[in-house]
Amino acid sequence: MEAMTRREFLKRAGEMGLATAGLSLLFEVLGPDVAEAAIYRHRPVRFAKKLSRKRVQCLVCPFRCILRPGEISQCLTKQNINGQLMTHAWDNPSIISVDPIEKMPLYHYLPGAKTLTLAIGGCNLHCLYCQNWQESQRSPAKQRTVELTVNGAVKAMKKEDIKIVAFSYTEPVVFMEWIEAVSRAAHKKGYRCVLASAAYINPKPLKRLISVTDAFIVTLKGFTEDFYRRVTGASLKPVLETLKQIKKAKKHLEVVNLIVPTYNDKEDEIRKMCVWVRDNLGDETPMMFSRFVPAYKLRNLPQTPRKTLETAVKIAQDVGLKFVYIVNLAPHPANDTYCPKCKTPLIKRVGLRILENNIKDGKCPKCGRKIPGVWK
Amino acid sequence: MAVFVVGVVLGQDNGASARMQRKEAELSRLHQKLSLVNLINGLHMTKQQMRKVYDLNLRLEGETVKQYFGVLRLQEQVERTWQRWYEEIVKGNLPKDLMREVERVDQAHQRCGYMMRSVVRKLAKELEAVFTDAQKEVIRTFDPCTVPPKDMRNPVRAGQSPSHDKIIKAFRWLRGLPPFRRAAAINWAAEKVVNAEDRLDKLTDEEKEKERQRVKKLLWKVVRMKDVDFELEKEKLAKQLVEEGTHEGLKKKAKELEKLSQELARTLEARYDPRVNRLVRFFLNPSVVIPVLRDKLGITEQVEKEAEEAFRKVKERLEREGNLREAFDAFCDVAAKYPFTKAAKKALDSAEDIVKKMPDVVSGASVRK
Repeated sequence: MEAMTRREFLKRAGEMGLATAGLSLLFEVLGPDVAEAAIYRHRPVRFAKKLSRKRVQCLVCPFRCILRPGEISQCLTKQNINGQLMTHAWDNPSIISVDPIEKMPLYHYLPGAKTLTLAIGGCNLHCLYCQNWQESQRSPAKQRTVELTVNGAVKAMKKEDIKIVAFSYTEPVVFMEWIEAVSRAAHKKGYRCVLASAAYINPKPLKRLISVTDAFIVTLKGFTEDFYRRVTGASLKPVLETLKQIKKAKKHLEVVNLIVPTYNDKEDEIRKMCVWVRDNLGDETPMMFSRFVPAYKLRNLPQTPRKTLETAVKIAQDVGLKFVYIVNLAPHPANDTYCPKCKTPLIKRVGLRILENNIKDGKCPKCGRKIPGVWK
Repeated sequence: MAVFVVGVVLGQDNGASARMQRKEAELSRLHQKLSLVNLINGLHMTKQQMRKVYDLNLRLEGETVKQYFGVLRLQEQVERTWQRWYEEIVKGNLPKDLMREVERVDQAHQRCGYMMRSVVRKLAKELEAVFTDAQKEVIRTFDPCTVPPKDMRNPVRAGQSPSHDKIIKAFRWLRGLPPFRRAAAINWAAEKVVNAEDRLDKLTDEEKEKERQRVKKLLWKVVRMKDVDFELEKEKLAKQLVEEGTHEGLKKKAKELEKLSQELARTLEARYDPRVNRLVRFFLNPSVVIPVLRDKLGITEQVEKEAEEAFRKVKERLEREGNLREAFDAFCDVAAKYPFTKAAKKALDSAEDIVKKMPDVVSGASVRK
């Protein structure tokens, strides 16, 4: 350790004393929550409405939280600071990871590409089976985070030679301000942006998010209001509206449904969902059925049986969906992409790895049928 | 194993080492069964696939039963000759007549091994068609195990490279330490890695020191990295820590050799050799595959009952009609149709008794003169 003169020591001790006194004064005057927000970086939320008595309403998601000064939204990322809605989710991801795009899971979007996947803590849904609950059910201020600026993210992509930035693991909707900034910076460099979301968002913020996103994978968690209320704490209708809006905006869209045994595995419900997808999003929309793995508050349930997933695939195909997959269960023939016309295997996968990609110029090499998706 | 075989031939199978080897062989069989169950579960095989593999193994075992008595006779000839040869050479003699006979016998003994090859080759082609490409990919990289690897236990990780979560957690712990504690922690961690490697591969002092320096260098790099760089490279670093180590290095080399031998195996026969073909090694092995698949398909009891019934019928017929030749064929049929059941064992024993009484019921293999 470096030697220090007595004068330097006294000077440093004085500085530290002053800093401590300042912090305690801050906590005293503003209260712990506001003080915490003052210490952490924060940015104003665009979609908010000021109400009387310094209250504010968040307009990002259908919960439309009304917050008194100091209060935190239920997504744990926004706070009313002196009558202004601020987000703490800025430059502080808790997850930075280099993943294959199949992990999103996006199957019809640049297969085999690497993504820089980022996630900031917090979520507006509270799914009982959340796989990443340590990050999603805690505010960014209360978990281990890494400082990553908008430009830092783009630099990291350049350094690792990654062409896609992805927002996954937690709910991107709750840190959309940062996504917007990162995505705009990434687009300037010719990179792309993809999002994995539960799509519980209001139309106006969604419009803004759509403008900066190239592809969406939306989790349609179930197909009854009761399921959404019981398992996620949200509601189904806004999610369906979001899906329609993304489709209308002509963005690349894939849908995934996690089948939870005894909760949303009824054949009738799955059929209704598939019919809705076919009628509203089109029969070419890739539809995935994901295997549930016991986690968080649903550890008492078993994994989704293989047969249930296979039945779901069969139902979706019977309904007329052309690209139906099983994810989180590999190896399985339903991990692969087949040409709906001549049934040729087009992309063979094992888990998140691509074994073979036979798609040529977005078409089946055998019969020439166009395969929906982004292939280069 | 060779020592064990020689020991048995020479009637010295009661020593502790021979018994230990026998037990080890039993354990090895059990290990193979556990490993196969893990593989079947990890491949998410359908019932139809299991049934097909089961039928292929039944066919292979059926062929083995057909050849069994011929081969047995040949093996007995080999045993007698080798025993005589042993008695001569131990006295320092090299009788020319016997030497020529031993050479003939050696060739015949080698032929025993070749006899099943064509059958295996034929069945291996059919076996390949049972599995999907993705399943074959998993089989290609599967290492026998008692506890399934994480990528097989957790479907979320299926098909990914092995998880390094624990190492990354340790990296985070190191990075979180105050600077004055880092040097001691890194030395301690390096020592742990070196000791683990030493337990597996018995390193020399020089190798230990080299390994120690490698680990320390890597860990210092880990603690000095910026947060973002660490997050981006954590998987790579963890992989580096494991795979550049001596033990993993050796394993990697062994796999490379296996791959090389597969490439070298140009002939069809060699390509289906269980030593280079994992599909054949894991799934064309009747004594392991048949009992495991019976359990997985839930037909063990039913097969036992059917086998018992079939054996009873043959026995009753033999008692009633006394036709040894017919009974021999019928016992062989029971052994081929219901292998690895109690009744199959009794049927083979009965057939062997008939052979003792009537050696000419067996046709086929013998030492060429």
